[in-house]
Amino acid sequence: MWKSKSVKGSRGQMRVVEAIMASLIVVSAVVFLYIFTATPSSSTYETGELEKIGHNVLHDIDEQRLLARYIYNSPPEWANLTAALMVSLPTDVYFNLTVYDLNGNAKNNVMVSYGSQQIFTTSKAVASVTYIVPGYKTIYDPRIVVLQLVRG
Amino acid sequence: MTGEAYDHLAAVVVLCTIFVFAVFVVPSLAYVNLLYLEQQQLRNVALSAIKTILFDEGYPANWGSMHGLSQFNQSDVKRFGLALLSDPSLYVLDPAKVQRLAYNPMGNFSYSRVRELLGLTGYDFTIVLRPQFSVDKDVTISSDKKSISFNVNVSRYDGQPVPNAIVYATIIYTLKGNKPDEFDTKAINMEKKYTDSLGRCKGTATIPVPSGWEIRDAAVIFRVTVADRATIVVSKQSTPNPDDAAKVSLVGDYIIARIDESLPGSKDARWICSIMMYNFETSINLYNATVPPWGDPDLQKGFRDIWSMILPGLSYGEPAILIFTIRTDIEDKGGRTIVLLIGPYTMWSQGGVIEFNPGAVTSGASVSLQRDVIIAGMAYIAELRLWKTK
Repeated sequence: MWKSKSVKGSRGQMRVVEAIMASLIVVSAVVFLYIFTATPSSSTYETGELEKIGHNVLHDIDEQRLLARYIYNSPPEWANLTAALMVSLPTDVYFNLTVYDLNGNAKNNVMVSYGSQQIFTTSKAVASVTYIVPGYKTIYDPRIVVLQLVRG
Repeated sequence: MTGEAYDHLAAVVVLCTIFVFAVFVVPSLAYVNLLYLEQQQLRNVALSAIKTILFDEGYPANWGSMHGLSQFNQSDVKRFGLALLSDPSLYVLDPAKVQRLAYNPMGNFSYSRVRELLGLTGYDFTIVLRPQFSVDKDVTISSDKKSISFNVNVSRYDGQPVPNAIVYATIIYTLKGNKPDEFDTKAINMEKKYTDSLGRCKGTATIPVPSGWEIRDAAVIFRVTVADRATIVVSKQSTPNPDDAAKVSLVGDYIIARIDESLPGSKDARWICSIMMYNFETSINLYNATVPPWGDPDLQKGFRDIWSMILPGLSYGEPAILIFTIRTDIEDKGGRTIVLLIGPYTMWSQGGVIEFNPGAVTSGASVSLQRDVIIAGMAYIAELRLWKTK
């Protein structure tokens, strides 16, 4: 009698273990799918939109003949460039801008940025826009403007 | 026996957990993914729509001004787009087309027609065109009617103040004397001012008012620049309501003033005394008829509903603001008065912000895209919000 009861109990425990294992399999399958599915919210889509916004804003400032003036004036108008980007970009977008010459040397000795710098290293969706300014007035002296954007 | 009870209890708990997971967690995960998928579909549709709106001229290419002095007929437009005709630059919009998006006394687009032309059946959208930064302003005439003061508050749209913005103010005012037809319209340019750390600035102008005269009406045009990115806004003392005098449209080279029955006192006579045009660079007197004899009224319901004037080449001057001085009797019954009217009505009726189909998003997923655009030489932000029709 005692033996039969013990066997019955072991069978019940095994069923519980089976149920737990089955549920773990279901959960892990769902989690696996969730992690590896390329959802439309992934960084590819977000950076694509930020790149369009960045190019549009640089083009617009350049079209108003301000971008070259900010960069080439002596001294360069980095504060004005920062302010112009701040009012032109959406309020939830942070930026970091660097101006290079053709040899890859950074020309801005002050930060042209808005928002915490940490977000540019931690965010998975940082967009980068490259825009070339050929020169100012009659002088050919190309500058490469690299604008990094991230949504805050 | 006790062990079995525990086993069954454990089985019940596990089953309940699986049930909850299956009923609530799995669908919600699927819903999130579906929402993302819907958002991505919306984003693709919105990208295509905003490209058409900003880069396409539409057909006919001059649809914004093709009807001239006639009422605008939206069914004559076969393709929708706001781009300026023959402008090689991107993101430059035609002011005549933009004016057809909001209420316009000479006719405007209906939301359903634009939706049809854009092929957005099954979707709803809002188009917003607004200056690059927000400028709150007010203008007051002192109680002794001898001075005009203004306050300006410049901020980003998230409320963050913009310090060191340069504010140029041009005050336009009308003076009225003792005699019925004694009046004058003048303008003064204030010295440039800078906003403080909270984005605020204020100014007062003491007006040289001749004895027996008083300031009757005042408007201030503010040209606000942040890093030489400029915006123009205009503010007027709130009474009398200038829209009660007439509503002004600008169609190509035509300036049109129209009166309609819904305006208070629409049967009263109005005489247009002067028109001044302002843009970023210049202010130009376009019309002056301030000296009697006045002749027949320029506007009077049932007698003359529309007044118009063509100024060849006007559209190339990119007029941002038109200031009308109108002699009328809308304020004091039986006595003439003089009011300043700001136009074009479409551009300035909501403080320089144009909203086409304003309203709340009515479905779960929505997207918002924004681009910088140029309208009449001024930088604006164009925003398209799109969502699925419920």
